[in-house]
Amino acid sequence: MNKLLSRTPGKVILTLVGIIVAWAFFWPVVWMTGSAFRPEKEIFEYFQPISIHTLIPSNYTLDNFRAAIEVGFGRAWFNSIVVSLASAALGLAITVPAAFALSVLRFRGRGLAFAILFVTFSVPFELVAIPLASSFRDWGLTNTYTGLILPGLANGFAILLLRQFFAGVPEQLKEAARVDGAGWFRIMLQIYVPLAKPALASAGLMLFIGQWQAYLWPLLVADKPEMQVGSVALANLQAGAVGGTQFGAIFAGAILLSIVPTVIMLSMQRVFVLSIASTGVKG
Amino acid sequence: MATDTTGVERAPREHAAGRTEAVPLRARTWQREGLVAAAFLAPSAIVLLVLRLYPTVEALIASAQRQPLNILAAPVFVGLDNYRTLLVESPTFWPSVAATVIFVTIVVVAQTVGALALGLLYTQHMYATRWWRALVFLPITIPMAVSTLVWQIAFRNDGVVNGFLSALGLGQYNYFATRGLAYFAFLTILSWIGLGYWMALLIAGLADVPTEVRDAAKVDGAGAIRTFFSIVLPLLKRPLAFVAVALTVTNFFTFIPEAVITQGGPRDATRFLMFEIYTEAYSNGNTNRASAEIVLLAIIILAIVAVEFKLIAPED
Amino acid sequence: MSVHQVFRLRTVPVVAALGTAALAAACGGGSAGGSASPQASETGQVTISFVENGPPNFYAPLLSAFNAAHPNIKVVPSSIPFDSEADIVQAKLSQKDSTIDAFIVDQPRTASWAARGYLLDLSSLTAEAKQNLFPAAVQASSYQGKLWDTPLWESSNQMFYNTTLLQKAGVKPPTDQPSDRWTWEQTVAAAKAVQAKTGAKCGLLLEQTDRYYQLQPLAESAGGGPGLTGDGNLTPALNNPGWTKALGFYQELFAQGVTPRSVSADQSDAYFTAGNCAFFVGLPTVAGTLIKNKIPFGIAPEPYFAGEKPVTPNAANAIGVSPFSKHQAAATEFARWASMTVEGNLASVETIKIPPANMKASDPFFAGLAKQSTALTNLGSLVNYELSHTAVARPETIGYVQFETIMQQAFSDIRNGTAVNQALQNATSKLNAAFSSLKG
Repeated sequence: MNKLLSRTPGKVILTLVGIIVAWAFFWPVVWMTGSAFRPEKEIFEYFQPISIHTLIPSNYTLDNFRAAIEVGFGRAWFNSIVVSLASAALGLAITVPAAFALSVLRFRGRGLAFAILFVTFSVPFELVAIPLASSFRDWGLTNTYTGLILPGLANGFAILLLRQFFAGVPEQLKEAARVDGAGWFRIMLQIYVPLAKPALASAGLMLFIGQWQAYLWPLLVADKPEMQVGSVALANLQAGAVGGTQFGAIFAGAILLSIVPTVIMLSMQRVFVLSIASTGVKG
Repeated sequence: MATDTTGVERAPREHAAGRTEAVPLRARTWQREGLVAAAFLAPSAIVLLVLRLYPTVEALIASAQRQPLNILAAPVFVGLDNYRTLLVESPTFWPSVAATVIFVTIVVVAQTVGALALGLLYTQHMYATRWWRALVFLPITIPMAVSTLVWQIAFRNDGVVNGFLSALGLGQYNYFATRGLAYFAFLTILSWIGLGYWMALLIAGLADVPTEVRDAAKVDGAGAIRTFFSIVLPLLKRPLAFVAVALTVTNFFTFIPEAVITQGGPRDATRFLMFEIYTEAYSNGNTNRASAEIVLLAIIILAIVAVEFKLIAPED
Repeated sequence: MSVHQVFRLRTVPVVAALGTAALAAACGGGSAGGSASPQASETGQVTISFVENGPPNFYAPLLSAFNAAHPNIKVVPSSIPFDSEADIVQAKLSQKDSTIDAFIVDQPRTASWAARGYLLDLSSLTAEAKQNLFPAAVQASSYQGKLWDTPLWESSNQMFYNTTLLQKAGVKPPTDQPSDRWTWEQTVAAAKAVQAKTGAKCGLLLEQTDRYYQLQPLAESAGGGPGLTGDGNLTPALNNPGWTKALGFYQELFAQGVTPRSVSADQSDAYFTAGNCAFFVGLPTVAGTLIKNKIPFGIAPEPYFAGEKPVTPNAANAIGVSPFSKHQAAATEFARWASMTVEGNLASVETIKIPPANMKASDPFFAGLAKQSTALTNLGSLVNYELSHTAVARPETIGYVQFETIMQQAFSDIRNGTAVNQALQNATSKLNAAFSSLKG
């Protein structure tokens, strides 16, 4: 199929389909961006009948962006990036060996460890976290990056994802290395990890997004304005019935927040579509 | 006859690769692997133990207690009383279980198929693929509360979705007034938020299907559909199993749409278990009953996830 | 005793927390539920934390005024998003968090939080409160006869109308005098007339869609009572003609297109201040945005059901002091100053323009508002009239949070078309289940 359609007409059709599908996901973002540039009172106009102005503002203003920055959104944006990136990096450092152990090594109790892993992600963390937040306070971890990052490292899904990948790597690779006398750490680092780039990217993505979307835990452990993360800073702009929600500022902040992970995703796409075949190792 | 280092004679055994090995050596290998495994697991195990297991055990214990109203009074052991209240007396627990299981099933099936379809589409040869993929991925980078707010506005009776439908002559709808429409709206919201993300994870899995295998099948004359079902899909089992499990748990845990838009309505149709638990734990401050619900929810999730794993990737 | 010890798994954190509480108790006033008066004043620089629910810089005038007037106390704000603040404060206090000193309390939650031991008994301030604050405000901060938090604001509902739309339709607007109060029936008729003649999308909009705050006055006006009764207000009382009438009216507003169906509580201000509606019933704070958006408007008293009595809502935010705080005297002084001094109370309403709870701050506040628009000339006397004659408190019950949540779900179902008596029956059974663990 691929060879057939790599001729240009097929490619053009596929691209068109790709654009239409992408538009189905993108139009709300266009609306949000438009609303971020709109004066507050025009945000709810132009829904019906649908017109070009539904998406494109007729009047522009930077007030919403100004409002978002005024309330310290810039700092929150920075905090989100630091916490999420650190969680991804540190998380990978500890989940890769754990996944390796669960898939490649053979030891008594492996089944039990696997079962416990499943239990850890079957319980919603933020709902059992209230006493833990209190403990973090006693350990002096409130309003610190450490306090925000630590729970993000306990990501059972990342371990499972990597484990699934490692379990699929042909056994002969490991056998050959063992015959050559290689230690397990070298095997993991020099054979499995290089093969696992897409899986590493995926696990890193899960760790990153898990922290990027976190809301309740940051509320419990970070109450100083300078330690707030993006999702909390945006929620601060929702005032309920008192004082009025600043919709424009919320959309402005959300769009700004979305830029960094999307850019990261854009630049890392090559890693996602790498295959074992292209890394030059045959099964 | 071979003699191992302990000086005891053992009968040689055939190894799979044709080498022979004495039994105690294997036992010692197991032991070494066990130690190595312990070392590899240790950092994650500590983090998981302190930050996930310990709170879970605390919740388990809390579920067997009742905290008197005044916070300074000591909790009282009540055994399975909280469970009994939930399972036997609560007018909302079982309907909530039913609604949750039904809804999650719909969403998991739809999103697994959807993520797979998107993954297949965006690994074809087209122009500027990585840009379209990035656009599809974008929604997960927006805080879910904001995404939900945007779609709540879009689904207003006088909103854009109805505007689009009436431009096509398809009439207008009140999206949060009936169960069917509310589920449809929620499915749209959750899919918009997550499909790009799950697609990205599956693409990484798709990448592992060696292209020579696919091309070889084509040379043999297999059509695209047969190639997909008999070659590609079986090779996708492991990543698919992961995505199905992760999707299931994630959807059991979503609660923002029902908290922000419907508060569990219409007529408790979107009163999912997670909403119940949050309300008990945070709004009512009844940690004990909330803990019991968490335990029950975990049991349901574990049962479903175990079945999924067995069905999709049984050899693991 | 041994059974309990088996289940006390928490070691260090609990010991630390209990230690703090014991120390505070030893200093004469740490425990809640009938505790003694706050600790004796501390000397030297004290920093206290104030947990509030935004929006950002909302309380900045209050804090800078207080810090200026109290050189030895510094108040540091800690902002939590509006919808989550009560939940988070409750979660932290349930762990006896000692880092919270003062915090915003939604007045109807006073009973629930006092009973749980989350509020310091502020009875020492009762005399001063009665002297300076509206009686309705003091009542809303009381539980079992004691004062548990200090009221900052009072709230009231007025009817606002869009002058342009009414003129275009040739509909004579209501006056702002309580003696000329319109009925709901009159209001709906006028709203429909405006819609018919101007094509406006919305005739009447109630600000807080599906909220008990907004609908309690309707039910009470129709004679249905607050919806709770009995010992401690823990028995549902929704099965009466008053509730049926009020909620039937609510349902018809949407069914007949007088009110657009899907404008949520947080979008209603934006909807009305964009000029879409003829009539709007809500907090006077909407006036600020109307002036900013240059929408000509007028005010009138909140309507009532024909032949019944007029009823308006009240109560808003107050400041509570944590019994686990290490600086109770300073926090109590903050709570007192912000509420019971004219300077403090005016500073607390500077950003939001909601009526102050302090009677003596009321006149300067409304005078300031009246300067912004002639339509607001009589707002002060109207609000004062309502607070003194028609305001009704939300029921004092330890189950208020559950009650409010369950009622909101019922109202939402009714708005979407569920039969009124079915929704009320559903609510009753949910309330009974929710209250079962609170009784006895």
